[in-house]
Amino acid sequence: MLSWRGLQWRLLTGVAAALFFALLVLPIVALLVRVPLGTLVARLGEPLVLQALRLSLETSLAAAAIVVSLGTPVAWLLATREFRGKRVLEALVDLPMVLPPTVAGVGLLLAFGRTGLAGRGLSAFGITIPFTTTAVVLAEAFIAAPFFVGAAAAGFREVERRYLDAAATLRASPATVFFRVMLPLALPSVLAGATMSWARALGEFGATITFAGNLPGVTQTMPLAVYVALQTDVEAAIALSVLLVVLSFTVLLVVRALPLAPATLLRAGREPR
Amino acid sequence: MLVASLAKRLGGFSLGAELEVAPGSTLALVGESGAGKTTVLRLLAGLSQPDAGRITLNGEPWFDSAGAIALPPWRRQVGYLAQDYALFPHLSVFDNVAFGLRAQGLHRRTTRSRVDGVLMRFDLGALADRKPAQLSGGQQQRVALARALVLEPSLLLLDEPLSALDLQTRRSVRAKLRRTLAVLPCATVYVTHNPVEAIAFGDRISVLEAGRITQNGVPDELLRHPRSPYVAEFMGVNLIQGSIGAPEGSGLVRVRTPFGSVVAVDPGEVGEVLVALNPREITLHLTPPAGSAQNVFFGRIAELVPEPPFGERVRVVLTTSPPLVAEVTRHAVEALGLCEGLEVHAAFKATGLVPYR
Repeated sequence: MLSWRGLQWRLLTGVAAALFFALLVLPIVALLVRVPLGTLVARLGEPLVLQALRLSLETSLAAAAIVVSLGTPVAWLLATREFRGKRVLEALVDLPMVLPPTVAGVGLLLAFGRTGLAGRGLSAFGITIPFTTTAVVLAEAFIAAPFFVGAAAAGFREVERRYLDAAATLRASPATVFFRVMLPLALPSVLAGATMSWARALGEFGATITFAGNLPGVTQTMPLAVYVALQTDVEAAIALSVLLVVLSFTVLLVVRALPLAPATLLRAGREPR
Repeated sequence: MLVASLAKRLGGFSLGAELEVAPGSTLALVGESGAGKTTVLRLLAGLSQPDAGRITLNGEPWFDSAGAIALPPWRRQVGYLAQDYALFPHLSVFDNVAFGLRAQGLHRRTTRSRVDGVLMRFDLGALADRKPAQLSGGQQQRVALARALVLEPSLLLLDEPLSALDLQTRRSVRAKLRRTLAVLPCATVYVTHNPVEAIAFGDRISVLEAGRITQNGVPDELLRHPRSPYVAEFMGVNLIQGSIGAPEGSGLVRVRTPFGSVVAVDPGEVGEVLVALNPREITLHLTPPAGSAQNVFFGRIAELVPEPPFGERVRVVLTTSPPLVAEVTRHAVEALGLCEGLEVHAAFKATGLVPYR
């Protein structure tokens, strides 16, 4: 028998949850019901859309590759070593997550622009980065990096010290310990982090448009194409948006399906005896 | 030959220990939890480095604070069995055992044949494809041992290798482990807090108390001449600390203790001494005994402990001063009607009690 107080509490949480999901789900539903499926598919076949889709996939994968290869050592460092200024470094790594992406774009311009800190040196060699596809990759990598480093570091931290010690006494050098023990045991977290950072790169808008501009075929990724299409061709904008929603949602479902902790790995391998 | 002298501070704990283990022999390192046993093993393995000292194995320096030598674990010919075995959960039994050989970049075929050989020797052939989570405790222990021994270490470190097992498997695993260790050519350090294991495995026993080695010797030596109350309790004998004043000339002396004196054989010297007393030498009486025993102490029975559980003998813990433990047969317990709280006279002879320093 539920008391009046209990009933009140249930009602309150129920209403709050309903409002919350209305806020989240309504825009998604609105996108999906607006255009009939047939038109949607036809729109996705347009050259401008395909061009943006291809560019988005290429740049986001390149950005994810950069983030994983450069971010893995950083994640290992943050997970296993203690040093002065570690907290500052951790906050720095997380910064792009909370920074307005346009601010990140301005920063990238001031760093790699023709007269920027590093850009001046680069332009001496005839290399210009802003408003190129490379700029798109850099902007996406900048914004997506914390999603990978955070997840990978958490995964490395979960690996128990006793396994690393055992490996070391079995003649394994630190590199071997990392590749044969640390990485395999943290793999689910590392994969989840890589997938999340790729998905974030795919959706990047603000830093890209600020630092790389909006040139169709060169820097116009899907989110940018959606923005442009909204002014001229609403149906195309909706078609692109639906595609991005489906893609992002699929990524999240896949990440959820990954066994996140090595402990889960262990439980899965245990048989009743 | 392992020769080590180790000094290490860890927070408020300080370790200072010297060890020597001959090839082919086993040193049992015993002590209470927190005495520093695992720290000693980690220092020997190179998993942490001493603040000062030296470790040499068969003349090869592994660590030398004076010469600034500190080999990392993977450069030492060491085998290390952690208490929980730490088998890699993501690798099969075969891959666990092959791990060290692969880490050294050994040829595939060589690895395969050496691993197969070791799996056969440890009766693990049928389990090669299993994951550690699918093994029993005893099987896990054998895999961990195989994984370490396939590398033919010159120093084997075992950290309470039987403590993770339940009582039933412990006995059979202990017997197998004894047979394995008996034929190993390497020096072995076996950490335990179990007296049965220490005596079964240790060619010598070193006792670690609060970071210091308080006694080191063959098991019989520790049994006859324990040097500290902990060692005496560990070996299951009574230890009386006292002093001898003037010799009495009768072949016997009085050893004075804070609780009264004990009559013992005259060792021919005076001063501070220790007297070890086997619990089986003590007889219990309900009335003051009239026999030839020179030493009689009066007290209550604090506890009756069957030894081993449900065995034929019973240890009787007494509240005498000094506190004594007697060991009598189950038959005697029944005949005298011994029970907790009962007042008894504990008697033992002076002959056989030889004070030592």
